[in-house]
Amino acid sequence: MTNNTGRLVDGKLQPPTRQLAMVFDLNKCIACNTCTIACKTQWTRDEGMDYMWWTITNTLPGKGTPKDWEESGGGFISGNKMRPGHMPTKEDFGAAWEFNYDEVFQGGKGNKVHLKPKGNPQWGPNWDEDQGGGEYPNSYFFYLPRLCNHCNHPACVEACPRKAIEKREEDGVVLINEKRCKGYRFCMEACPYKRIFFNFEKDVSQKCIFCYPRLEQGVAPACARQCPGRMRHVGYLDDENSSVYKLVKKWKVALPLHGEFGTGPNVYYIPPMAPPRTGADGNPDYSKPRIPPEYLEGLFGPRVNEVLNTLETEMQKRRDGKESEIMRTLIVYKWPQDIFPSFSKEPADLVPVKGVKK
Amino acid sequence: MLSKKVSVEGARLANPADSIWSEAEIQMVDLAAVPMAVQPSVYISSTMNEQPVGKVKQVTLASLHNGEDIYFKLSWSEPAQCVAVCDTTRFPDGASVIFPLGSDAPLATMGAEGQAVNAWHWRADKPEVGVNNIASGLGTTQITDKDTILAESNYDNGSWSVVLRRPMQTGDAGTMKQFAAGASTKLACAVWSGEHGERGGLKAFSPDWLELELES
Amino acid sequence: MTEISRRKFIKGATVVSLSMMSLSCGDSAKSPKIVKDLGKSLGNFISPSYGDWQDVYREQWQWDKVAKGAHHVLNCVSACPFNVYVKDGIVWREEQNPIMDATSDEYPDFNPRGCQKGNCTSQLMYSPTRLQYPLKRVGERGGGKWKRLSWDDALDEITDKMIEVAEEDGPDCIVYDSGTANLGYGSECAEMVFFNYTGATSLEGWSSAGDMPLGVIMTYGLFNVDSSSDDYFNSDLILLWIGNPSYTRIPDVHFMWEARYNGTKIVSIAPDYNPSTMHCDTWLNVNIGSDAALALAACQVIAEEGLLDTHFMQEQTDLPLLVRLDNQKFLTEADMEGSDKDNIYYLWDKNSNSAVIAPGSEGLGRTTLDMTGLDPVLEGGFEVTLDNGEAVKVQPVWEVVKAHIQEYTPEKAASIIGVGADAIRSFGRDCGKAKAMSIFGSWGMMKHHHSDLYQRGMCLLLALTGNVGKPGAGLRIGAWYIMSGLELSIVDKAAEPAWWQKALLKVYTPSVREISHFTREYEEKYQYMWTPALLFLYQHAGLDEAVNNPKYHDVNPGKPMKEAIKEAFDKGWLPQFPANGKDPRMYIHTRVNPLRRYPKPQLVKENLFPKFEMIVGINVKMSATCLYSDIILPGTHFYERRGIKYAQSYVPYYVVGDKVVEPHGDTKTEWEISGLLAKIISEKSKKKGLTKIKDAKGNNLDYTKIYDKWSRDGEFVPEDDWQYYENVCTKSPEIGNRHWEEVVEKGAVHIEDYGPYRVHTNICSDYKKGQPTFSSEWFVKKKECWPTLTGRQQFYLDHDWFLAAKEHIPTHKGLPKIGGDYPLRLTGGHQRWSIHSSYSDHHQMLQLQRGEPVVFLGSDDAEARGLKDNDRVRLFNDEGDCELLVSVSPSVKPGQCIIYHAWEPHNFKNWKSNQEPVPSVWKSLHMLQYGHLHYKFVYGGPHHSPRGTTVDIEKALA
Repeated sequence: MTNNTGRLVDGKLQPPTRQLAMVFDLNKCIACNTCTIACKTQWTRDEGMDYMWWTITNTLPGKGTPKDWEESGGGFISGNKMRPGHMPTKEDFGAAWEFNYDEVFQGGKGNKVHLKPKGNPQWGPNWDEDQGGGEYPNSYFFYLPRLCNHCNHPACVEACPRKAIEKREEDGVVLINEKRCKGYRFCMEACPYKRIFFNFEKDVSQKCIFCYPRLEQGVAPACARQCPGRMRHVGYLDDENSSVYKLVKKWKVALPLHGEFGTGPNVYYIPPMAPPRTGADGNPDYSKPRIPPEYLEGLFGPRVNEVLNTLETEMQKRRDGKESEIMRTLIVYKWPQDIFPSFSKEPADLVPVKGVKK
Repeated sequence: MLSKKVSVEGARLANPADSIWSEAEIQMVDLAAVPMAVQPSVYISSTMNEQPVGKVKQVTLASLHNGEDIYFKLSWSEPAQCVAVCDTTRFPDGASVIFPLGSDAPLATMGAEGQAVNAWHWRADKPEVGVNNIASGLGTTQITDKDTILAESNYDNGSWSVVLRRPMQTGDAGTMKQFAAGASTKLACAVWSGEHGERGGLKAFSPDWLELELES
Repeated sequence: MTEISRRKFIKGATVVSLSMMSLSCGDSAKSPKIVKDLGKSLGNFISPSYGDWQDVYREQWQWDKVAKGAHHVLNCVSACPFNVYVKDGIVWREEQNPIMDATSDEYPDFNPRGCQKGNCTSQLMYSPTRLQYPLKRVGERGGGKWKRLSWDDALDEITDKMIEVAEEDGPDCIVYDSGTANLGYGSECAEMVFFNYTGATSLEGWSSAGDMPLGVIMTYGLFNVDSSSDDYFNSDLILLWIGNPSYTRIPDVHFMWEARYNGTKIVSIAPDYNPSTMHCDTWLNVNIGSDAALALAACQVIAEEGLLDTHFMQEQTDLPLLVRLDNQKFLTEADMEGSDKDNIYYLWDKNSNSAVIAPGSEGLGRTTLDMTGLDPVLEGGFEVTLDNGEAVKVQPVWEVVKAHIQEYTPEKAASIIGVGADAIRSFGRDCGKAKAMSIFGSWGMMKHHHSDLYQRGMCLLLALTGNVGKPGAGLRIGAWYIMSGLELSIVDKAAEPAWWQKALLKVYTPSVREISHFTREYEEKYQYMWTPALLFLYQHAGLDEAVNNPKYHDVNPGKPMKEAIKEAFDKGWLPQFPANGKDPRMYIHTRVNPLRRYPKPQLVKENLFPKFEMIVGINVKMSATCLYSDIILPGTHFYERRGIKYAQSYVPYYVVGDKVVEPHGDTKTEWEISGLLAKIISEKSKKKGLTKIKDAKGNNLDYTKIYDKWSRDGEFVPEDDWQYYENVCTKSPEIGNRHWEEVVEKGAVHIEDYGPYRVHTNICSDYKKGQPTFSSEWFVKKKECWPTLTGRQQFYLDHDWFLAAKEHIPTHKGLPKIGGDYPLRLTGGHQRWSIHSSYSDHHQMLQLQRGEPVVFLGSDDAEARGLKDNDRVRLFNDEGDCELLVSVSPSVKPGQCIIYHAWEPHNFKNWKSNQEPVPSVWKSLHMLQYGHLHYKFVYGGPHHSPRGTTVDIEKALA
């Protein structure tokens, strides 16, 4: 049955009993996209899902995926006043190009044909990889992993006329009920993060499920657990032992992305540091940071520079041989318990019996 | 409006272009847009007040039966045909005929709790089938059957003609309207213009129930 | 491919031929029937019906079994244990097997190891690129037409040709090329051994890969050095120098960023703002080719500011050794005493105020660096009287070096380096003050023309600051944990090295220097027709024209290339097979991709391949070189066979994989293929009485006994390699002599010992539980001699060629315009999305790029050429050209363009790859034999150096 969790009822947001969150440490992210592939392999190889990357890591500054998603509207202006959103197109997402393997390998055409994507694509899910912004030598870029934010007040939940999108009471995970969904795609317009995909084969919308079948068995989501950069913290926001709680609530060094979209995202980011600028004389120029502060503020809000200062102060403590709990937490000495304490089970140890377990 | 009983083969009745349909009684039904304020979506109601929907203003409705199967023909003008869902921004043209499953089912809200309506839904991207839905309020539409209602359609000269057909008596009366010669029923219809992004509650519908009598 | 189509694909394989990998030949008996009927398998378990729509995804989170997999027989430096999830008889997915504990509480652990490529390996098994059946070319080479062969017919044709060539022209006219991919620890080694038994020429792949750290070999006498990844936590300064670990060390690089959080300072030295630079504290945006100058400038600052570790310099380096000013040669015992020992050297002892013999000198035999009682002088000038009565002036090497680095004060070097003098000075100061400094040099730094000078500069920087042989310090290139059982399991019993067994039994511990010599002798004795691949191309493919081009060399090359090569051949410094100027006749490449890797592959296709009457490829995927082959034998994929991943020093574990599922298609392992080849050749040879096939070294090979040698007199059988794995494991003290089953059940096992020194290991430290691995402790702590002429880190090379080239000491030289007079320098590095060309054609990896090769170009350079992002461009120079897409980025330095490694040639129009404009010219100095500079397998010789090639870019014609 549908619930009201995550909806505004009589002006009051109905929260779940507990809320899960992720923290991405951008100072450890290398955009290897192991998260992307882990998710793809686990969930999105079925019919109609080829082009879906429920989680993906792109280069910033950049247009991202779907293209120009940051300028695509959606979300809330205030209360339940919502902002019109742009419907991202197939091309914006980047189609799952097919390749002419057979033609090249056995087509009998020799070097007259070469391996290439069909359809001469002009955009893809990671098209502007490693380009970035600024001007050499003061160029800059960093990586931004994204997935469904499992928001406190999900725009998609409020958008769906069929109540096909629910925020789970027990953990705040936002799910599309694919049996109820009729593929109207209002959620895709309304989501300001543009993390909902349309399955053309099944005529339903689909998105990150926060790996709830894994969560239910104490196993962290695939993207987090398979992240070799050890930069995706997962935990309940009310679990004082979790790194998520410490980074978001206690030390407040993890910030939401585009909080102004008004949905209350539950994915938080440790903002990116960068080496100092290079002056005209080829020496370091400390007059301003390499990544323009206003750019970071536009992404992570007004506190971002305060957080960067905190990180620098804490790193200096370690250089000086002093303790720093924040640094210890970000380092992650013991995987998995230090990074997703409630979800540290090894999936291979689960009883490999088919059939639905609850 | 009368659904005449005719004795011709089903294949002719199923064909919207067949001359048999010239024998049917037709009714011009005026359609209205579903008001944004009643849409069960905060997003739609708060962002789409100005959006022009309900683009199709009138549908020509006709019905015939042969004692076993009942046929409904809907024809309407749609200058920009939308068939395949080839992109996220593309929505198919569509049409529905709607029947109350209980005598008092309200039309404006697509039924209500305990007062379901039965909607036969046709979409241009799957033109050979009609989907059987029940609904008990806006946003509650639920597919119960995809096999029983069959459809044929053609698009010609800027207009759709669609014939939906079904055995008069079939399936579960709780989810499928049952028909009998000599009896009468209420019906309504709705049309979606894909070109204008119409889907779900964004549609044109006949605001009042029509009366349909089945010739015995 | 979607899951659906993948399943269809697999199911289809049992019914209809779907792709080239399953061309019909009527023999469908061996087609896999690995997909159980879904309905039946559903019947095997109870499926409670919850009726909850959320069950849709819960039902997908199910599997039949989990087993251990690894990505062996793949030239990836990481070793990552995986759990492989099997559903319906096929591998559904894999996920890292996180069993790698932290070394101690002070260090983060190693989990979860595995990148995006490792996490989709199973998809390669079922990919359209996968080879499933033996194929034979129909029509012309490279024409893309095939017919399916049976294994019997394929092996019959191959062995007929091998015997024909061996009989007619000698087995060295058979050329075996396993590159660097097949040197794993698994049963694939049997293949290399087999070809050695036949006397075939073996192309040595380090040469063509550009993986040879020549400057390190010159300085340390060692092949490589490296540590475990958690040892970065012991560094307070890390220099990322010609390396981009964010791309190339995906499972390891977290240790660096975590060390940074822990207070370690990280400096990126790179022309471009790259994906690793972003996580560093400082970026030195150096000019391409200026790395040696930067090292020397830092050394100058350190010397000037009194930050030298003089004790280290005195004891561990040749910097105190005396050099004669009259001839710039070392002062030797031959000079001083008139003896024949020109490999005993002198230093000036302050205590006795006299020239005394320097500990470590090679001529002293087994000795140490212990300098008790001595106080070696580093500076000043002295006079000595030679045996002939002549008085000559001498200086310590450091005096010579110190004078030279005065040319590289920050102010003078700034214009070479392209970085401000303050930044250079501050960098030098940081290096001098660091308690432990490590240099992530990686394999990338070897791929430059003057890479030897870069490395010698870096080694000098480490030596002046004493940053070798202690935790958190040293140069990081590569080193391996060995498994002693390997060689004891696989080689001809007669060839088992006696010294090796003695070392294992700890009867006698040979020194590193002795083992270097043993290894050389061993290769001489037991055939090993190793030939550096680039020399082979020089002789047979027409690469000589570019390599001999004087414009592509420094004005002071030491020796003109043509003369250097002639002298090297005349004096037997470098191996030359096929011998006596014979043309090669048959080519067998296994799991490598020479047309992808070789410089100027167009020459290979034009000049070399026509000499081969038969080209055979063994591979798991359709590579560019397979496309040009005559017969292709399909290999068994990682999860379909047992394997041991070679163990680089990053993680102190041996990673193994089991046979998780039945092979897809009709494939065989290299073990089985080589065993069958051995068997068939021996049988055919018995019929023909081929007991005396003369190899290129003059040995008579008994071809009827090849199988007996391969099978170690019946101990091994081709059909099953279990015995091999059991032998390797139980004979390896490094894993506690465990049984294979115990190891494979876990998927990885912690090392227990580094084992004796071998040419690849180079840990040269003693294993201590609870301590990260670091290298060279034996030299620095135990005072063992370095395996060089002087027994020390040797910065001074007094050979005439080096003196003529003015490279007798670490120096900087400008980069020649190799490629012609063009304004851009082509750089690169391993890319994020592939392991060499493996995975490079995986559809998802391509979808996450642009689906085609790109060249990164700076914004201004693009604008100046009228280029917009994603324009199709032609990249060209005097040597060749290729077409690709341009990715315009402000992160790329003006004058630089970047193509990441490695695209398949058939990713490019007309299959003309980015290697075509790359002649990869090496230095004549690398041809000579002098002291520890003595070619052996993967130990010197010509060397692939693609980086820095001059090119230009223009818009491609439509």
